[in-house]
Amino acid sequence: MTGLIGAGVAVPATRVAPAEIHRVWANVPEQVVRRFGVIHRAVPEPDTDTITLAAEAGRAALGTSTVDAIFLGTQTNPYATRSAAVIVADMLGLPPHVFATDLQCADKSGTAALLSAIAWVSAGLGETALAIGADTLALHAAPGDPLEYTAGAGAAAFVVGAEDGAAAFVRMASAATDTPDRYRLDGERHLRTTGSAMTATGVGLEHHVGLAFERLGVAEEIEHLAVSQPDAATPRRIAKTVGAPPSTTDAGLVADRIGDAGSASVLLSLVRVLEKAVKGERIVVLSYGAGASSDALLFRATGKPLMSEVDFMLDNAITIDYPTAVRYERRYAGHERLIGTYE
Amino acid sequence: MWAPSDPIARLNTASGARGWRSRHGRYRLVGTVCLSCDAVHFPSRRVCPSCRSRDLAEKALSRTGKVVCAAEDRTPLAGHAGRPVSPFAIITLDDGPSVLAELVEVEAVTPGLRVEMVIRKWRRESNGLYQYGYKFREAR
Repeated sequence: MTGLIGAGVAVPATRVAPAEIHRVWANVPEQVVRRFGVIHRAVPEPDTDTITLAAEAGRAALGTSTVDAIFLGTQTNPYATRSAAVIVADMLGLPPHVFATDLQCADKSGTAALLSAIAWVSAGLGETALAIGADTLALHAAPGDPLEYTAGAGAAAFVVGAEDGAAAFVRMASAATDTPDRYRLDGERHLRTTGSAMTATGVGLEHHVGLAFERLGVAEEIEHLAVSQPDAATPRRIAKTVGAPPSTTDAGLVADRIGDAGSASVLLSLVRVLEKAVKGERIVVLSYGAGASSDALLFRATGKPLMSEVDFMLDNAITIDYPTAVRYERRYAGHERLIGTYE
Repeated sequence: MWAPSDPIARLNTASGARGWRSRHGRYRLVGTVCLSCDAVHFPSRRVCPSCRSRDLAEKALSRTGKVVCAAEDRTPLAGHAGRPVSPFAIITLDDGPSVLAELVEVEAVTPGLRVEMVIRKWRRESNGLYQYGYKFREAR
């Protein structure tokens, strides 16, 4: 059996409240911001990026063990061509004969990495593999874009092995069509959306998540849903789409404290579910990546604890105001060197 | 791809090869242990400063340590403008050697504080590469 034998998470401790951002921009009615259900969103400090978050989560997942392969799913690699997974492999001290690669599929990159790791181990190509999802979406939300209220950052990592671990993998299904609802163009910093015609009608999220879930074919009742969370209201929207009770998403809720962690959000959600799940419970993981695609994975919990400190990471907040977040996220284009800096 | 995190500074930094050579030390605190007098060094040495032996072995040092003293720097170096004022400290690792490093996610620092290593971005070099390395935060 293939299963999840270790997990680690990393979330920036600095957080900003969407209400603070709304005080400056006031570009949508206040109740719209409140409806996101996001109390704080993560703000990556200037010395934090996708690679450092991935390395921290990977280190926490590995402990002192090692793996044969590393798959890193991200849509915010600081480099255009250099593999972030390769850099993270060296940061984790993995031996140089490790197989390392990046995966990019918008917010679905995290489950793409997890599925690759599961396939790697199931195929017998290696004994263990590390799957990481990491993103810093906050750096890619345009100032004044409503996305800025929720775009956060984070990373989550799983060690996949040829044993049941904390959760045994049962089966998967997927869905993908050409649906351009949110995207970032080459050379551009900020994400664009095609507007509410694409994002509010359900042709993206609800359609793809529904397709993948239907294909997964879970007839019996499921106890937990771990889903992609662009905001804290989306999990219940997904539960409604797939016909599951809304309470199944409660254990996996993470967006209320960190906002949208991109490809990491569904994995963070799964880590949190596994900390609470008891033996025999069925967990369905549903990711959604804009563009658009969705993965559905079915796991069966074994009740083994993962010791991931996920709740500590989510709660460990240093609250900052919006001007400070603007400075940290470099939202002003400035000189290459400011007056008052030494060389 | 547009990299949002750091502008490329105009000042010259050492070549990418220098960063490549030092990466094990920066990423994993790899130092050296003298096989003849057991002295532990960080950063790595080629010759033991205590006994002049060239018989050294690489070793990843402990990721935890203790703050000896700390200070704040309010005049940022080029490429670091806009960053929060963060304290830096001399930290004695559990294996013995001391390192000078920045502290992150801390508010008040007192000597004796237990800290653990995290990887963060140090700076962006003039060739555009990001240089990552050790920083420390309060131990958990």
